[in-house]
Order: sequence, then C-alpha cells, then structure tokens
Amino acid sequence: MKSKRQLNQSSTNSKKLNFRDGKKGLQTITKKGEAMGTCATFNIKYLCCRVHVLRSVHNCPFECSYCFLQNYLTDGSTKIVVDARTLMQEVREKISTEPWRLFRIGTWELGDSLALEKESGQAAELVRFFSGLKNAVLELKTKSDCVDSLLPLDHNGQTVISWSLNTDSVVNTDELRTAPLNKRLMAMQRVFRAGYLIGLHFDPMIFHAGWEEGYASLVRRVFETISPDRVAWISVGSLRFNPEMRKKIENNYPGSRLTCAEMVLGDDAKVRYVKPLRVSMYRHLYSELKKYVPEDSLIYLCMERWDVWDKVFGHHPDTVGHLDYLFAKSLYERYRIGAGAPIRDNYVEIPIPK
Amino acid sequence: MSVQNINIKDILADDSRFSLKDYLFEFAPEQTCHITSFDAFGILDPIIVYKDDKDRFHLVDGRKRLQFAILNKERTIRATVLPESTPTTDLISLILCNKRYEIEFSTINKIQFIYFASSLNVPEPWILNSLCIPFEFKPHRDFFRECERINNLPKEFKLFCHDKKFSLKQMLNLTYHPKELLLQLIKWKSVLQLTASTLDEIASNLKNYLKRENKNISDFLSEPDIQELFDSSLAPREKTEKLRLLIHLKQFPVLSDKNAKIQKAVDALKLPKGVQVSWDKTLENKNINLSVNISDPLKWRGMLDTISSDEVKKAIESILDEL
Repeated sequence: MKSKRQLNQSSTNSKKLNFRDGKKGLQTITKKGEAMGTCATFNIKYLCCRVHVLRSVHNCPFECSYCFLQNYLTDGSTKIVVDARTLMQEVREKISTEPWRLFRIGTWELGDSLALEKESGQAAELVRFFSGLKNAVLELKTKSDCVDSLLPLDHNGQTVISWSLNTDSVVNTDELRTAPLNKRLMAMQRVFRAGYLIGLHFDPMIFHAGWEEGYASLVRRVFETISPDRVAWISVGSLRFNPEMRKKIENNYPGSRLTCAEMVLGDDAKVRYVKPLRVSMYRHLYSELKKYVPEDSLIYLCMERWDVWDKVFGHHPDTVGHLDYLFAKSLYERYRIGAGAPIRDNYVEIPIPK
Repeated sequence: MSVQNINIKDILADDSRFSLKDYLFEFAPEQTCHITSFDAFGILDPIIVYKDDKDRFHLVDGRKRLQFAILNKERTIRATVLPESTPTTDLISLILCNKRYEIEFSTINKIQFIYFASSLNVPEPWILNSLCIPFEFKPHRDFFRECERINNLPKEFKLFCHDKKFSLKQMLNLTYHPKELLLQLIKWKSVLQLTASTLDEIASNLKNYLKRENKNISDFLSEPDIQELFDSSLAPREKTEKLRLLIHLKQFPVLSDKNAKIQKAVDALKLPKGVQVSWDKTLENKNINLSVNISDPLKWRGMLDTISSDEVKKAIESILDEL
C-alpha cells in the first residue's frame, strides 16, 4: 500500500519538533527501556480499570483539540518502535510472571493504535503475536479506518479492536484529520465480520449543543452497524485535562469551545465538567446503551469517582482489583478468553500502583 | 571612538535605532532636578551617538542633555561617536548600564528591553546569558515566545502591569485573554480594586462565559445586574467583590444553583452559633464537615442534642444526596 508519509530512521540528534510539526513525519525508533506499564492516570479517588499500556507509538497524525499529547510530549516527533519483536519479548516476560491473570494491553497511550498502520504494519505484527498468548488481550484503539492489514489475520480472538467514538458534531469540530464517523463505523463492521471483538469508547463525552440527541444517535448508529454480542467492553468518560492544557487548547485551537464550559479542578489535578453535568451525560448515554446491549455487557466509567458510579449504575466495584477481575470474568464467561476462570481474590490482592 | 561637536539637526533622537521610547515605561520623571543641574553646570558630559552606514547619528545616551541643548537653541552638541563597527551587543550593554534603574524598575520593562534587544537582531544565546540571567528570568526554549506574547499586550494594559509591578508569570497568564476584554478591565481600574489574581479570575471567567453564551463585552455590560453594579455607589473593594461573584454565577450556573440549594438547606436548620456545616463547593467530593466550636462547657450537651437530632440527620442525608 502506498503512503504519503515516509518512514525515516531516527537519528538521536534529530531536532526536537513541536507538537504540530511533529505530526508531519514519521520516525522509526528502537525500543528503549520499559515499554509496558500501567495506565498513567491512576488516582485513588477515581476508579481505574487497570488496563496495561504498551508504548509502541509516540504522537499521532490526528489533531484532536482535547488531546493531552499537545501538552505532554517534549519532543513532538511522531515515532514508532520499529522492531515489534522487542515489544513482544517484554510483554511475554511480564505476563509470564502472573500466568493466572488476564492482562488487557493497549497500544494507544501515546498515540492512535492504527493511524500509522499503512506505513508501519506494527499492529498486524502484534495481532499475530497476541494470537498465541493465553493470558493477554491486545487492545488496538483508534479514530481511524485503517483496518485492511488486520482483516486476513488469524487473531484467535485475542485482539479487541476499539473505536473512540463521538457525535458527528464533535468529530467535525474537535477531532481534526480523524476518519469521519461513518468511515469509522464501516471499518468497525469490517473487523466485526472478520471475527474480532469490538471495544467501544464513548470518551471524551463533550457537552455541546444538541448533545443528548447526538449521543443517542451515535449509539443507535453503532448498533445498526454491529451486533452488541461481540462487544468486549464499553467505556464512558467525559472531557478532562490538566489546567495547563487549557492554554494549549486555546492557543492551538482558538475556535474550539471546549474550554469555556463549566468545569472544576478534581483531586487528580485535572479539570472536568461539574459533577451534576457529568452524571446527567453518563446517565443519558447509559440509558441509550441499555436499549441495545445485553444485561451481561461490560460497561464502565473511565477515571470517575466512586460515587459517580453509584449515581449512574447504582453500584460500584469494591476495589480497583475488583473491577480488573470483572473484566477478566466477563471476557472468560462470554468469550472463553483467559487461561481459566479468574479468581477474584487473586485480582484484589494485586498491589495498587503508586 | 572620538568626541566631536556634531550638528544637533543630524541626530536621530526619537527615531534613533536605539530609542527606548516605545519599549520602556518611565517612573515619575524628575525633570526639575536635571534642569537645575543643567542650569548650574551646563552639559558636562558628551552625549553618546552611533554613526550608521549612511552617516546618520543615532542617539544612544543623553536624551535630556539633547533636549536641554535644543531648549537653549544650541546648534551643536559634544558627542562621543561610536563607529558603525560597534557590536550591537556592546551597545545593548551600554544602554543597560546607563538605564539599569529604569529597566529593572518593573518586570514589563525588563521584558520590553529584551524584546528591544531582540528587535535589533541580537543573537538569542547572548540575550539569554547577558540579559535573562541577570534579570532573574529562567532562560528556556519558549522564553522568547513568552516575551512576544507579553509585548503584544495592549499598551494601556502593559502600563498597568508596570504600575502594579506584575510578575512574568502573572503577565503571561493575562496574555491568554482577548485584548478586548483586557482593555475593558483597564477601563474599570478606577472603580475596581484590581490585583493580578483578581484580573486573571475575572478575565478568565468572563471570557468563558461570553464564549459559551455567544456574547460580546457590550452584551455583558448591558445586562441589568452588571449595569446596576456599575451605577451603584459601592466602594471599589465591594464593587470588585460583587463583580467577581456575579461573573462566577454566570460562568458556573449549575454549581451555583446546587450550592445555593445546599446552603438553603443548611440555613433552614438554624444551627446554634458554633456549629458549622461545610462541604466541597466544587461538589467533587461527596463529603460534609460538621464542626463544633465551643467555649462554654455548659453548651456542650445542647450542641450534641442539636447535631444528633432527626432533623439534622435528615438534612445531612439530603445534602449528601446532592453531592
């Protein structure tokens, strides 16, 4: 497949690029240090799903106005780890220390899992690798429609392909250069037909004119495209960012209205919509989802307070470990993913990251 | 380098390449002192000029001496002439030595002096080492961009920053607000009590409110509660507090409404003096603090009875439901 973007071997002395300029090129790098870790957003006042991340890509060709990378990356160059085998070796070593545990591992922490697939073929390599693992599931999360390389693969059900989804209005105003919603949905249908499990991330929900109808219509369109019985998990979250990001967003995207909403600073040093607003958005989305998904679907809030779970779902997991266990249990019971039936106590005893 | 008598008409003063008139804000000028000194001794030291490649003399130092000479209808003045080959960095150092007090009087003056040096194409590494460090600015990658942001603030606003001696960080925060808004804030300086943090808070909340509601500053000024506030005879301090509150209510309608509801529930309890109910006003933490201040041991039992009453328990439950 031909691509406009060129792969360049990274030089260690290459000039540091800013966030936007860095999106234009693509450098290949070798893995340095640890690439697999826990999701960096852990905070005790918020419930974390304890997903693991594999840092295989740095920066992203898309321009979401709310993206934390514009404030996070000191070197804005887009880089991809060229030798996926070294990543896999690290994954293999780490998951072998806890063979009873089901690891969910995503490659989306510092970029989009599939946006650079045409150039790199990295995701396909990872899918092949994960197909042979018993106690790990790969999550490829994207706002693209780049799924061609994944369709013919023998994934063995060990890869979940997820989409970050938003209303047409938000996609058009705040998710620049990403695939339009209809293309994301078409790509979703193709991987669904190829037998992959699907992940849905309604995150970040954004408060905008017509949001209620927008999100209702989004949910309806998703389940007109795929059947809910192969949806591995559904996450719901709302717009949040570090206070310093406010200036970055206003500077980089002067037309964006994201920062003028009614937001407050939380205990994790991030600003969010005020709680009553968040709760009403989550409740609305949840009530729409319930129209389509089966009872045993796994729906969770990403980085939300325990009492917000109660307000939305009427309950909350007992601990972070309990939520991790619920994932393992759900995936095992519905799709027989994992080395065996998970044991709750094992998950609860996993130490909380500091 | 020579001292020469040069024709005053050949000297570029305001148009000098090294004129700081557009860059520095002066503190109260002490003209009389200079004039008295000139009257007593005349002009003792030669002015300093720089001769460019077109043989024009750019005034580097001695603006007041030059003014005095012009007032006295002199045709020439003694001047130390710096040759065209003089490095610009040397000229900047000379100006800094001569004007150090004015330049270092406020952060905005220091920033503008750096911007002035930058406008003369002085190399950035030299500015970072020879100006930023002595001025106690942290030289970093985005420093020049920050200077430019501050320099682009409206002149009236920069003058206010100079008078109030705002810090670099305070000014930088203010650069993120629309100019129209900053100019409006400056118009209010005589009727409000404006500190850097108050300015930033008002500008930030007002900016978000206007953007969210698709309004401009004129729309805001014509809102009845705002009109009433500015027509009132409140003292600047009270007016400022009221304005902050009104803007906060407009920017945080959901939060304000919830907090008002909770406050109403607390007020309805008519708790004895000394018993306080407080909660996280951002509504993020589902938590209530009940505190008791006691100075008379005889009141202890009464307070406990109040706190443990069914009415209080019920109210606390309903407040927790709101949080």
